[in-house]
Order: sequence, then C-alpha cells, then structure tokens
Amino acid sequence: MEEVMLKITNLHKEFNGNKVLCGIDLEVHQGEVVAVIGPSGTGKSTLLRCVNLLEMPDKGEISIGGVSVTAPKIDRRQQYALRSMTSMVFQQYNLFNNKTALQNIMEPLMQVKKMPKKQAQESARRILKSVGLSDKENVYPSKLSGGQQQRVGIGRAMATHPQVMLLDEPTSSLDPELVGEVLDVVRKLASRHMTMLLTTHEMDFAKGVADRVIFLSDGRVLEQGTPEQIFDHPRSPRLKTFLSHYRH
Amino acid sequence: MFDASFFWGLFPIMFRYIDTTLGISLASLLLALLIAFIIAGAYYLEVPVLKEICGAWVSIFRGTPLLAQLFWICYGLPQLIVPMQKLSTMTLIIWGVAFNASSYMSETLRGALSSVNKGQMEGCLACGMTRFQGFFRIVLPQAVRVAVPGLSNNFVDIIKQSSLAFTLGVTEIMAVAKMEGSTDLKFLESFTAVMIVYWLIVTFFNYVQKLLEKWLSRMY
Ligand SMILES: Nc1ncnc2c1ncn2[C@@H]1O[C@H](COP(=O)(O)OP(=O)(O)OP(=O)(O)O)[C@@H](O)[C@H]1O
Ligand SMILES: [Mg+2]
Repeated sequence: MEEVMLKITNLHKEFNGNKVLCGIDLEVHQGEVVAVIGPSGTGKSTLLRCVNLLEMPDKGEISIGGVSVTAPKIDRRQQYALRSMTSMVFQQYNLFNNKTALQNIMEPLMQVKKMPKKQAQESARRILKSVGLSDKENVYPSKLSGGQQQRVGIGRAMATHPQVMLLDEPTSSLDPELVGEVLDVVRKLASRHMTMLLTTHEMDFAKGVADRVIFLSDGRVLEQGTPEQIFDHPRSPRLKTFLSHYRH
Repeated sequence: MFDASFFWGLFPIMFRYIDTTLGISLASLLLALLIAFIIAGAYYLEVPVLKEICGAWVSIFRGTPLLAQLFWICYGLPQLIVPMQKLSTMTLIIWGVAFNASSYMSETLRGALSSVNKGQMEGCLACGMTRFQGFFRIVLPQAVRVAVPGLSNNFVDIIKQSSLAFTLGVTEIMAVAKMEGSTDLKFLESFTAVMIVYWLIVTFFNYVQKLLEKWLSRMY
C-alpha cells in the first residue's frame, strides 16, 4: 500500500448545535481516489471544506503530507500551510470573475508559488491545453459554458501541484451533456495518480473513477469499501435504502 | 426685475474661482477614497483594533452635521493640536469634507464588497492564496466596479458640500456669488448663476461616470 497522504482523526463539526460531523476517521493514500457518497445534507461538503479549513472543525486532527493540525486551535500560519497542500474544485466553479481563463490558472502560480509572470503563463498554457481549452485562453468566466468553467476550475486546482485535490460535486451544476467532458478530465487526473477526495451524486462516476467509496450518513462513516463492495454488496440497511433511490 | 447683462457678466467671474471649488472637491475625493478603502478593507479583513477605530470614525462623521465638523476641524481642533494652526483653511476644509465623505464612501464600498460572491474569496483561499491576496487581487477589483455608481454619487455630494467652504472664509464660487450679489442686491441673478454653474459641473462629472462605467463593463 502507498503511504498515507491525508489522515483525518475524530473530526467533529457542528453549526449552531446542528451536529454535522460526529467523529470522522479517514485515511487517503497517495494516488488513491476516494469518493464520498451519502444523502443530501449529510455533511459531505462540510467534510471536504473542513479538510482545507474553509470551515473550521470543532475538534479533531487533520494531517496532509508533513502538515498536521489539531482543531480548534489552528492559527493562520497553519491554515495556510495546510491549504497549500490541497486545492479544491467547487460545485459552483468559483472561478475568479475578473480574470481570464489563463489568468485564473496563473493567479495561484504567481501569488502562491511566486512564479515569474512569463513562467506562470507558460505553465498555465500547458494546463489549459491538458483540459482541452487552449482556444479559450483570453475568455472571461462569464463567457464560458459551465463545463468549460469547471475544466478551468480543475486546471486551477492542478496548477499548484497539490498533495490532495478536493472535488465537491464537480459535475452537479452542469447540464447532462456537459458532464462527460468534466468527468473525462477527472479520470485523466486519476490515471496520473493524483490523490483525490471527491463527493458526488453520480453513482456511475463514483464506480468508474474511485478506488474506494465512503458512505457518509448521520455524521459518520457508515460503510466503506471498493466500489464493488459498496454498490454490489452493501451491508447496512441505510446504504441499501440510499442506493435503491439511484437504481431504476 | 432680472438684470440679464449683470447675470451673464457673472459667469466669467465665477469661472475664475471654479478651480477653488474643483480643487477642494478633487482633493477631498482622493483623500476620502484613500480613507474609505482602508475602512472597507479593515472591515472585510476583520483587522483587529483598526476595525474598531474605523467603526468609531464612521459613526462620528455620519452622525454629526458636516458644518459642525468643518468648524470643529478649522477652529476647534487647532486649539488642541497646535501644529494644525500652520495649515491653511483650505487644507482643513479639504480634510473636513474628505473625512465626512470617507464615512459615506466606506459604506458604499462595504456594500459593494458584500455583493461579491463569497465563493470568490473561497476560491482564493482554496488554492493557497492569503486573505490579503484574495482581497486585493480578486474581491476588491470586482467590488470597485459595483461601487462606481455609488461612489460617483458620493463625489457629487462632495462637489455640493464644497460650497460650505464659503462659511469659513474661502473664496470659491459660492462666496463669489454671495459677494457679487450683495453689492447691488442682485441675489436672484447671482444665486441663479451659481446654481447653473454647480449644475454644469455635476452634469459633466455624471457624464464622466457614464464613460467610466462603460469602460469598466467592457472589461469582463
Ligand atoms: N455555513 C453553514 N452554516 C450553517 N449550517 C450549515 C452550513 N454549511 C452547512 N450547513 C448544514 O450542515 C449540513 C450539511 O451540509 P453539507 O452541505 O455538508 O451537506 P452535503 O452532504 O454536502 O449535502 P448535498 O448533497 O446537498 O450537497 C446541512 O444540514 C446544512 O444545512
Ligand atoms: Mg454538498
């Protein structure tokens, strides 16, 4: 087995008394793709957002690469250190609206990696090419389709060479005919052994891309295993009920 | 009844003093913008201490009349802070108008900042940028575009408020109107003329604002 890249220990998070995560333990290995599934509102997004501290966990430990933090006492320096190990792809893309497709990818290279502009530009062009958007270099997000925006979003997330990439429902804001192009890019990343933790409502996608599937329910990891184990041989009644909603 | 030749004769005189009015207005605008950006930034980034100071500043300058503030800065404060006595009345008026306008402009900017989707900052943080980088490079530029109409309104207020300078003995167009009018008691002519001049200035800057908005909206 590859080394552990992301380790979450006893993670707790509540929003004004609403206990969302109640002690999550999770390990993701180098190059592994882990898909988190579960009912709506069960805390999948919250889990991902806690990993890069967009939400501050109430309790628990997160370590990525060599950086390890213990909630709730996490200072700014630790926050930035942990975040620089990760990157995130958002359901709503969250591209920088005042920057072109190319500049969106250049921005973290220049600001975070302190790369000179020329070099950042070349790097960003290569990335844009790998997500199939070379012709959209100078286009602003408002002029891109959802699928194109999300591919730029993935490009931006790749730019800083994160140890772990977090993808929160990367396709669920997309029209069905645009889902494919984004999934292709994610599969490509998986084949290059990018470590990924993703949430999704697309069971076929989870089946196809994930090495391991986590079923989250009531703030806990209720069941986990290979896609075959989870989808073809679910054990808990909860998971069975959940999956039955997706079978036609 | 209405002395037309006197009326027309007022304009060349007033145009000689228009630079004072515009000088006060533009200098106040720049200073007010600078302070307003600091206040809005302090709020958005939740800078400790500075945020509290800015809150008090806004509360004071929004909660009291401009005329009182001008008298306080020109006559009151120099008694406490002696070096201020060396400053010209004009400078102190610019400070007063700017301090006052900064409190309104900071509110305009804060509104614009909060109109920028929270996802923009999260996008910055998620790829490793600091809050400061995110603020200055991504959020603020988007907010400024939203704020331009509001800030332009604030600037129009500044232009109009610069007329208060005459109460402190600075000769700008309002003071000229009063002086010229009172020599022959031709107040109708002189104050009509001054209203027209203000209207022309404001209309001109409204036009500039439209151009600026057009230019900004062409960008993305
Ligand atoms: N910022 C917040 N403030 C208060 N409550 C929140 C906040 N973010 C999430 N929640 C609550 O936490 C719970 C989990 O939300 P979360 O978005 O993590 O669910 P999810 O599993 O991602 O759902 P979905 O499948 O619909 O995306 C929900 O009950 C939600 O209302
Ligand atoms: Mg979610």
